[in-house]
Amino acid sequence: MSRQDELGALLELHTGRLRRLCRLLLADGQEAEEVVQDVLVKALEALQRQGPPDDWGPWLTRIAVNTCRDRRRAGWWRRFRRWSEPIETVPLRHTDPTPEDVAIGAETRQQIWQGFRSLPDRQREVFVLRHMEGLSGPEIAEALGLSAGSVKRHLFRAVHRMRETLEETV
Amino acid sequence: MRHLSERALVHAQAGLAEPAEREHLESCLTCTRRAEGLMHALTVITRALDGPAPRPRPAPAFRRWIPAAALATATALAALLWVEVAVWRAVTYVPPTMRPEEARAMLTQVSAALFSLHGDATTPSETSPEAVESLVPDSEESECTGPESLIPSGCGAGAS
Repeated sequence: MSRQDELGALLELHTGRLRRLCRLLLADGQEAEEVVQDVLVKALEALQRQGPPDDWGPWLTRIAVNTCRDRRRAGWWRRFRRWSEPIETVPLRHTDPTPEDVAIGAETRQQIWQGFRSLPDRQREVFVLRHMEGLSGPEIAEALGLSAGSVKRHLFRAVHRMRETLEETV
Repeated sequence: MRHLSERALVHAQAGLAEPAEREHLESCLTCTRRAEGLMHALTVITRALDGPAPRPRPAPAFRRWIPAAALATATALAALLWVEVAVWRAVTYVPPTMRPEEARAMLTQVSAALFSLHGDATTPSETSPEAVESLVPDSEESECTGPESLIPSGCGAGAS
């Protein structure tokens, strides 16, 4: 297997995780698909410039977080337009409930996502990296360029707000 | 016994608690139950977030009109400002602008009225240097004329 193939396999291995991470950070599955492609391109460019990293996971996470931030900054108008679409133009989804819908309840799920979308960007990033990605405090601090105290503060606020959202729903 | 705060529980749940807080959590039944409640809430939240993201609910109708309303407001404000300025210009008296020769003539008249010696306005020809000199009394004459008590001694007999 050539070095190029190895690299491709490695990135393929992380693509699923990156897709999930971008989907959560952007709170939008459609946009996440586009961003993952950007993340992979940026990763390849960085590899050519700097060589392979010591640890691929945090390195790719950092690139993904930064790319999502760029996308959020650049795409506010598009998101505003999308949220403003009249109901007739919203594509219809299948009506069969997903397993998650059955377990939690569609309304609760919708409310949780709404609360999650309303979190400030930083809180959302810390929450996702800790509770969805399972990163430790120092790893989050390194990935986001924050101090340990900031990570704790953002995490508490995010969890507090998400809990409030859940309690309101229930 | 002092129980852990919500903040400390969140930190403990994330593995970010201080050793003393961890010790307390292990020994306190109340805090353990609260931590379990938090754990359950987080499980529900993460499970909901793990599925596909539901499409955001379409914004209420008024939100679609926000850009149009903002544009209409800005246009209305600009029109109001323009009308205000136009009306202000119409009602405010602005004196007509003078031509240079008119201004010069008016200033000459003012000057003549201010500096006339006999109460009559002098003409520009009368205010020539020679005319002004002829109008100014001789200094010696002025000193040696007048009431006797005010005449200086230097005027002498010639003067009187």
